[in-house]
Amino acid sequence: MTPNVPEHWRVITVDALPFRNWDGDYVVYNPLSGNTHILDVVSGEVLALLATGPRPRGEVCERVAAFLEVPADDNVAANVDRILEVLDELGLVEPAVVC
Amino acid sequence: MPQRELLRQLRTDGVHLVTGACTFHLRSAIDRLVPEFTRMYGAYRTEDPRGIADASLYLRPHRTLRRPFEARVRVTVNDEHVLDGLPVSGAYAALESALNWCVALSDVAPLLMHAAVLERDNRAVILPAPSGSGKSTLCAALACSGWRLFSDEMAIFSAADFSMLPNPRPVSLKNRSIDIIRHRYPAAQLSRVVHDTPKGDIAFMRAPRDAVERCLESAPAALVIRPLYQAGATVSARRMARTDAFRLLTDNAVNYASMLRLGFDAVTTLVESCDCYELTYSELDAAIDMIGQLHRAHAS
Repeated sequence: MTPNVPEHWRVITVDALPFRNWDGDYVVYNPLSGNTHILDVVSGEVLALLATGPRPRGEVCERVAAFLEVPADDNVAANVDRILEVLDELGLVEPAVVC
Repeated sequence: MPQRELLRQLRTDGVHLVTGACTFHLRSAIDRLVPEFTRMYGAYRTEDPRGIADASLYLRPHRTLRRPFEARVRVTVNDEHVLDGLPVSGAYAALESALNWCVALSDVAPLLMHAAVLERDNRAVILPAPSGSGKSTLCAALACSGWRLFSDEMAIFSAADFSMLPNPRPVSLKNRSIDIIRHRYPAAQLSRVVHDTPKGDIAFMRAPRDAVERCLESAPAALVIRPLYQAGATVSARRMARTDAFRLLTDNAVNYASMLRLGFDAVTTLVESCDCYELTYSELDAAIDMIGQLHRAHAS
């Protein structure tokens, strides 16, 4: 596990995040920044999962592993951490505080 | 309207010109504008000049200290200086440039894109492409081949009812395109050629009468076709991935960013409701035929 990666994540808006999935390509609009992004299929899957509600990092890893049909190992975890970092930088997701 | 009366109105109260999605209030102190304006816009509706217009334009001659003996056209839109530089002999070309500027900055409808739009059988074809790509030549050829002209320059998409709004104005032709259209379609009405503009020689093809008379009839979009002229190429059409079509439309959209969420919804609606292609061609006849095939295939 990548050190210091938050354990829970969510999308940045309470309202539905507008995005489309076209044959594995995702286009998403960030209503807070006004920016539009085109995401690869795995990043799009992560975003689509978080759009349904806050999720623990482990669940995101399991989802990505299932999507790619590979074991949920350290490789998948490292990739998920990079994806979350990028989506965070784009302002689409943020760490979630879970009580 | 007789030219004398038009000249008088342009110098006084002005004229309201209805081009479809837009209405322009025009005044002019340049009398030599009148013959070409009459020729290009004689069939358009004009309304009470005291009514509401999308923009108010005023053309007048202007001299500078650098060129005290050579009058140039100055166009102001809504009392703001917009366009300068063309000689008075190019007043009509200056008017068309200013009208394009007005459409680009108007809030007449949510989404504006640099694209030609034509319609047949109540299904519109959008041809997004930058200036200099051959789009206007292809547009003029289609308009002379039975397609209803919506616009050669600016596509207007209404998110209110998901339709393309016509705004048919004279088609801008440059350099070689002028002779191509003149020779292919001898019945087409072309304006006088203006030489030595920043874009070379420019002339305008009058919008077909059918397009003008039906300028308030919108139509849903059915096809997005990116035209790519390549000398010597055999005509071919390649289906575009939706993401690529999304990029194409947003790259050519004038006001996508300022529309915020509405812009995203408008473009995604277009991408999802249209068949999207990239069309490579070198011969106009082949391109026209291929567009017709794609249009019929969409209907079936």
